[in-house]
Amino acid sequence: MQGEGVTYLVAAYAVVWVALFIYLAFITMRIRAVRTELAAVEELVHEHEREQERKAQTETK
Amino acid sequence: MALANRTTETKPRAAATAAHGSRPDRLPVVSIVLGALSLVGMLVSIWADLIYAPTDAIEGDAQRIFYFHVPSAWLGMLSFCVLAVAGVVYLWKQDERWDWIARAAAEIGVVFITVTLITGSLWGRPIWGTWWTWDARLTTTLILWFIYIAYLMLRSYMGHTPAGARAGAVLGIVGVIDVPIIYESVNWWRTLHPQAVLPIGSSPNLPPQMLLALMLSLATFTLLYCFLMIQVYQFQKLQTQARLLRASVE
Repeated sequence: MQGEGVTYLVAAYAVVWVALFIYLAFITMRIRAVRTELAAVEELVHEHEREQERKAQTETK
Repeated sequence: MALANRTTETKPRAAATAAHGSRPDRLPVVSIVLGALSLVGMLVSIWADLIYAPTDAIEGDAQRIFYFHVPSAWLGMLSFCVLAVAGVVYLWKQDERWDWIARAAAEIGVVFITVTLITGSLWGRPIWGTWWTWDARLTTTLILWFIYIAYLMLRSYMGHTPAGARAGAVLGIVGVIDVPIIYESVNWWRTLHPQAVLPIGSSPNLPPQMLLALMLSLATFTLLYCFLMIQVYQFQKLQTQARLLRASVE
């Protein structure tokens, strides 16, 4: 019983901590990915704005 | 990230950021503190659970599973309460930030309830001689797991829309009924599952050393839960900002 209990205890500990660390790593990767995406979209917005400004200047001339 | 430091805000970017506050470029201080405390708490809890707490005379070492089975169950249930409260406030105020909290609570809650079910099975095998039994406590907990899955599937299917947020809020409010049923199941029905170790309104049914180890684990898991909530909330916030910006150029 004691030996068997230890096996299940170790298995349960492994499940808990491995699951939590995998989930934490998953969240970190998702945050990184969305930050990269946000930076890219912001760059796109700036390009779009510059283009519109150029068009407006051309039309004024 | 360099763009975040620019001071000249144009209209679409201003709309995306003004609606939801400034974009965080690094972890908030509270998040760093919670993360550090969780890490220290984990180390202390492992020591307390495996070394400090005495071995149970009847159940042996398998009883030590309970030191993280109980905190996981507590957080799985607490998380659903957070989800329901955030749903109520969202329906009342129509503020998207409450929906982010609900989504974060659902995602983290399902992790803790899954851990609860797995560790419960791992405890049940040596103690009851079976991985699973259709006991009232186990069955109601499994129902909560299914409600979480239903919530996440519904939100995934309906996307980031107000209708999806409203439907999720309603599901959360209806689903929270299962939480008190889980808690009271051991009193309402004859079950194999042990009685509550921390009954509300009466003294704990545990020796002091075991109680201390359990309290340490409860505190650590709660800190970890708060840390994870902040991370997932930040993720939801950044995702919404990216979506709004993308919509502004399309």
